[in-house]
Amino acid sequence: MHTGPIAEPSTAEYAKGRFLRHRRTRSAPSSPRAGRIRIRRRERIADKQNVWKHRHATSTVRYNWFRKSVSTLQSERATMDDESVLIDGLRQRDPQAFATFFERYADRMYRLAYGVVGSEADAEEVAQATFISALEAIDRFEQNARLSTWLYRIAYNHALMILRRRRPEESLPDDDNALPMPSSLTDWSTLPEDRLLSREAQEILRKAIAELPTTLRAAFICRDIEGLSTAECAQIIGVSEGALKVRLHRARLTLRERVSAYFGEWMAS
Amino acid sequence: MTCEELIAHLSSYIDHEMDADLVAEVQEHIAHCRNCRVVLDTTQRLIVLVHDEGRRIIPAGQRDALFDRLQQAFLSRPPASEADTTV
Repeated sequence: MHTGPIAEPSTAEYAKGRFLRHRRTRSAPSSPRAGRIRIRRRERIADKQNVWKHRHATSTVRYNWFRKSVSTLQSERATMDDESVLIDGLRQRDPQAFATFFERYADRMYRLAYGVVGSEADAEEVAQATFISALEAIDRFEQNARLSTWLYRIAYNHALMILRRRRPEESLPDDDNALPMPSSLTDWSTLPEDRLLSREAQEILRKAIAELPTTLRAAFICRDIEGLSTAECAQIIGVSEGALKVRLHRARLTLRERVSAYFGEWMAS
Repeated sequence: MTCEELIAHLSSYIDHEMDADLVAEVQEHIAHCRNCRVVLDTTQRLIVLVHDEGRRIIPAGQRDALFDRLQQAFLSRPPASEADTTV
């Protein structure tokens, strides 16, 4: 199967083929009418070439989309097969399956929980509750979503329950308010790593994340810390992808403003 | 493209969720607008920082205890029968 780009015939080669097919040789037109006929023939050749170019471009685009789709589907299929094996093992109460399950997902659930609830003790409680809920429901899990997405959703709901116990007065931020334009315009992006990763800077960043409203913080943690896709994040949090993007955008700009104010002061001092 | 429009589309640009025409407009704008370029660069840097440093794990001592508790709860449940599993 040909995998490289298909060579496009040049105008001259295509025209030559057409002329050879008609067994004619080029010569000066004998009359204005013959000249016009020749021009119209060249135009028809050019039109056919444009159609050919478009079909080639379209088929190349379709081919590349197909290759990418196949590789994405193969990757997803491999993940689903792997998850199916794991789920079957959990249903059979295989200790090895449980060990794999824990190793693969415990830190992720803990990390999401910590990001939402903000304390190690509560995050551990959430992780434990998540695994218990998941193991109780694993027999009924229908595999309509990825196992990780399902687990994250359980963890997020448990984290929200703890948060509501602790902070019942927190209200949802209004996503429709216009964001103010950024005001901290210090370019700290090129500061050396050791400055950006200093204990003080990390503490500023951690505090800034913790002070985000819960809805914004959850979107930011799912997308930028856990590295999940927009679609997965939206499923976990239980909002539309559009709403997820708005929250993520607000979270990023808010955090950037806080961190930029800190680094701006540091660079000015 | 104005600065307000660029800021509104910033996340889409960073996440490569923007069509080619808008990407070209954004790139043309930041080539001439220092402020927007700073906002873009610092936002991208922030995301990298957070992704690299925010990957907390369960503290080692707590991890083992958590594993033991969960494993005990897991093994104490009977295996799923075929009637219970949902396809």
